Amino acid sequence: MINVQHSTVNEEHFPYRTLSSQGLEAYASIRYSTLSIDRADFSSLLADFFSKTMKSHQLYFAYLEPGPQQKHRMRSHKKMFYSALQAGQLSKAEVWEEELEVSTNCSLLGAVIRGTEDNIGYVMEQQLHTNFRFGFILPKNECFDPSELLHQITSYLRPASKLTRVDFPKLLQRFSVNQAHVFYMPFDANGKLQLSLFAHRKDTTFLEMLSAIDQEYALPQGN
Amino acid sequence: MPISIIGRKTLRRYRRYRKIYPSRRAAFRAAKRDGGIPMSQHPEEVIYPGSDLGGEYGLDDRNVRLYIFNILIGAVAFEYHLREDKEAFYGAERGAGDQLPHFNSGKADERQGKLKKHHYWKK
Repeated sequence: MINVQHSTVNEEHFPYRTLSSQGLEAYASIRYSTLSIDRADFSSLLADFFSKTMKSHQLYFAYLEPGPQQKHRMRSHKKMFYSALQAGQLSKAEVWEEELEVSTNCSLLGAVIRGTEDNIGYVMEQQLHTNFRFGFILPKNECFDPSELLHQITSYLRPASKLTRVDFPKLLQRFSVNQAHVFYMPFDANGKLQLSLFAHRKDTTFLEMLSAIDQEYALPQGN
Repeated sequence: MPISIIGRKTLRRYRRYRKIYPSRRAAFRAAKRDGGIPMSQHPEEVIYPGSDLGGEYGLDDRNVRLYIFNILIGAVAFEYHLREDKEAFYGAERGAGDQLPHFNSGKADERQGKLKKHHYWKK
C-alpha cells in the first residue's frame, strides 16, 4: 500500500524559491510514498500510472547530468543514451539529446525521452536514476518540440546550487501555459520511495485517472 | 556469542560482509575506493540534517551527513552518495541488529531507494 498526500502548491513547497508563486495555484500537489520494503507496490503504481497516462496524454522524461564535465570528442559523440540506442532499447525517434555548453571547456549533457508502450518497461527498469530530473505530461493533441525545451533547460535550474537541481516553481509556470502536469522522484537518503506530482487542475480526465489510482493503491485513512 | 557456536567460517563471512575498519577515516577511504571515486576527489556537496537540503534529501537524526560525489560511468556523470550514520542500538537480545557507526554508499537510484554498501568502523 502507498501513502498518498494531497496538498495545494504554495510557497512552503519550495524553500529555495526565487520567483513569486503566481501561476502555481493552477496546480495540485500529490505525493506517493512508501518504504523500500514495499518496492513491488511502488513499481506497480508507477507502471499503472505511466500506462494510463500514455493512453490519453504524451509522456516525457527529462535527464540532466549532476554537473558540467570537461568536453571530450567521445562524450560529444555518444551523449547520454548511446548504448541504449545501439542496443535498440530506445529508438532515435523518441530520444532528443543535447550537449549544452556551460563554458569553453565544460558542457552538460541533457536528454528527453518520449515514453511509448515499447520503451516504458526499459525506462522504468533502467532509466529512473538520479539523472532523471523530472517528467512532464502534455495533452495528446499538444504540439511540442522537446529540443526547444532542452536548449532552454539550464534556465529552469536553481542558480545557487552547485549540483543540477530543478527550480520547480519556474518550471511549473512554464508548463502551466500548456496545461501540462509535472512529476519527479525525490531521492530520500533513508530509502523511502517517492513520486511527486503537480497536476493541473483544469485537466479533468487526468484528475479522474488519478482518483482511480488513489482508490487502488492508497492506504485506507486512519492507518 | 562464542566462536564455537557460530563457527569460524560464519564469523569470517560476517567479518568480510560487514566491513569493519579501525577508524572513520579508513572506512571513508574504503567506501570511496569501493565506489570507484579517486582518493583525491572532494565531494561536490555535503548536506546536513536540519538544513533545507537535508529536508529535501530526507536526512534525520539517525544520519550525520551526506556526501555527494560525481562519478563518470562511460561518458556520462552520475551522482554517488555516501551517507554517514550514527551507531544504533535496538535493545534486542545479544544486541541483534545493533549497528556500529557506518557509511552507506551507492549510486543514488530513486527506484531502488537504498544505499546498499556498508562500511563500519570501531568507536
